[in-house]
Amino acid sequence: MRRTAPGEDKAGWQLSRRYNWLLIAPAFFLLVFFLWPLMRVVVRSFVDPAPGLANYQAILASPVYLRVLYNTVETAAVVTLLCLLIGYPIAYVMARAQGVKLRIVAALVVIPLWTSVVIRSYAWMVVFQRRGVLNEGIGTVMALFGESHTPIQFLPGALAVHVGMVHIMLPFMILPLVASMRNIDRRLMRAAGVLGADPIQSFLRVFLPLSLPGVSAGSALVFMMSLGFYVTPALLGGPRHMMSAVLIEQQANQLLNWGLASALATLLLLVTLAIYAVHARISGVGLAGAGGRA
Amino acid sequence: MKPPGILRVLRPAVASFVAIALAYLLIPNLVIVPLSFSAQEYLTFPPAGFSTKWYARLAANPDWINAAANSLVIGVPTALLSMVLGTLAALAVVRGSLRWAGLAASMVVAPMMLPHVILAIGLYPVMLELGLLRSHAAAIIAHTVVGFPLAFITVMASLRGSDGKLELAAMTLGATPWQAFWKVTFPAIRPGVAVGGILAFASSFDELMLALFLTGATTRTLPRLLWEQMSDFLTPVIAAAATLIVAFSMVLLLLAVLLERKPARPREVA
Repeated sequence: MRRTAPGEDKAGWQLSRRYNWLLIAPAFFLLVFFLWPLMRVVVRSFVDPAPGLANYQAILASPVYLRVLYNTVETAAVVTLLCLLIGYPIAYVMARAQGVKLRIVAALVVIPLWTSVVIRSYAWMVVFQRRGVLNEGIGTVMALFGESHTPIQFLPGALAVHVGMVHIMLPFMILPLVASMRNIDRRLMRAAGVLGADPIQSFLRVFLPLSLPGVSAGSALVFMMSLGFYVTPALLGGPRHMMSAVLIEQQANQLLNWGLASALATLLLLVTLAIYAVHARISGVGLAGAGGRA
Repeated sequence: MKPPGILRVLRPAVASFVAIALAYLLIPNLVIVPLSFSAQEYLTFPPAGFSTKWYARLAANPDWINAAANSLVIGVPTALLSMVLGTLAALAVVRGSLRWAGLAASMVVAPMMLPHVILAIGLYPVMLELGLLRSHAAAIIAHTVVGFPLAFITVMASLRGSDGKLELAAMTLGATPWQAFWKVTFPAIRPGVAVGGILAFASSFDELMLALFLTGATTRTLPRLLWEQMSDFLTPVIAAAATLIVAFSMVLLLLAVLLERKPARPREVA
C-alpha cells in the first residue's frame, strides 16, 4: 500500500502526508451515509418496538424465519459451488487464450455483467414459464418421437433460482480466477513435464494448487453477494424458496415491521462479515483488487 | 501410452463444456430481443409474427419516459460524485502515508459487497429525517455509496500504474500541488477516472433495492418501474423496454472498453 520508503527524502514524505487529507471527504461521506445507517439497523433490532431481544426471540421461535435463513445460506453455497465448477474451465480457457479467441470469450463473460439483473431474471422467467422456451423445446423434441409433453411447472422453483443466480454470479467467479491463473508461471508446467509428469498430473499437482488464491477470492465474492440476492429469488423462487433479502424487504416495506426486518438484516450482516473475515484470514488480502466489474 | 489417450477425450470434452457454458451466458439476451418484436399479446416463444407495436406503446406511455429521465437525473450526478470521491480516496490510499491504508481500502469497498437491503433499511430513516425521502437526492446519495467503490478500484489501478515521483518532480520545479495534480497526475489517471464513472453510472442504472425504498412515484427509476410492471402483468412491452435498456448498456460497455484500451498504446512494454 505504501509508496514511500522510510528512507525517502523529506519532500516526498511531506507530499504523502498531504495526500492523507484527501481521505476526509470520502470518509465523512461513508460515515454519514454508510456506517451510521448500518449502526441504526443494528440498534433498531434491539429497541423497536420495545428494548430487548424480542425480535431475535421471534426469529428463533419461528420455523418460517429459520427456514428462510437456512435457505439463504444453502442457496448461496449451492450457487458458489456451481459457479466454481462451471467457471473454472471457462477461466482456464480464458487465461490461456490470446488474440481473437480471448476477445470473444472475454466479451461473452462481460456482456451479461452489463445486462440489468432485473431484465435477466425476467428473461429466465420467459424461459421457465409454463409455455416458455424450455417447455416448448422439450415438447418439440418429444413430438419428434411421437410422444406428448405435459408442461413441467418450473416456476416457482429452486432450479430456476439456481440457474438465474449462477448466471448473474458467474462473471464474479471467472474474473478473479483468470487474474490468479494469469499469474501462474507457465514454465512450471513445462518443468513438471520434463520431470516426467503427464499433463493431468502437472495440472493437478502444479496448476490447480497455484490457482487456489483465485478460487478463494472468487468463492468469497460470490458467496457474499449471493447472500443478499433479491430480484432472482423474489421473481423465480416464490414463498417456498424465499431468501433473507426478500423477507427483509417484505417485513419493512410492506408489513412495516421494522424491528424484525432490522434483526434479520443484522444477522445477514454478521454472516457476510464472517465470510469476509474468513476469506481475509486465509488469503491475507482484502477483496479490493480481486473484484470489480470490467 | 495411457495419458495421451485420456487427453484425446478430455480436451474436446473441456472445450465443448466451455462452449455450452458460454452459450448459457448469452441465453437471456437471445430471449428478450426476439420477444420484443412479437406480434402476440402473450409471452410465447418462439414469438409468432413480427411487429414493432410494443415499442410504439412504450413511447406512448409517459411512465416509461419519466422513469428513463429519472434514471438519467440520478445516474449522471451519481457518476460525477463517484468519480470525485473515488479519486480522492484512491489518491489518499495509494499516494498517502496512512498506516491503516489497507483498512481504509476495505472500508471503501465494503458497501459494494454488503447486501443492498441492509443499507436500504438503514438509509430510509436517515433520509426521512433529512427530509430527502423520495427525492432524487436520496437516490443519488444511496447510489453513490455503492457506486464510488467502483471508481475507487479503477482509479487505484491507474495510480499504481503511474509514477508518483513525477508529481514530486513537477513541484520541485515550482508547480503548486493543485497544478501538479491537473497537469501531471490527472492526465495519467484520466482513463481510470472515466471508466470508474461509467461503472458507477451503470451500477446506478441497474440498481433496484435502494430505489424501492428511497424513490417515490415521481422519482422512480427504470429498474423500479420494470419491477412494478413485472409483478402486475407480463407483456412484450417489458421485453421492448428491456431491449432498449440492454442496447444502451452495451453502448456504455463499448465506451468503457475503448477508454481502457487507449492508455495501453504509448507504453508497449507489458
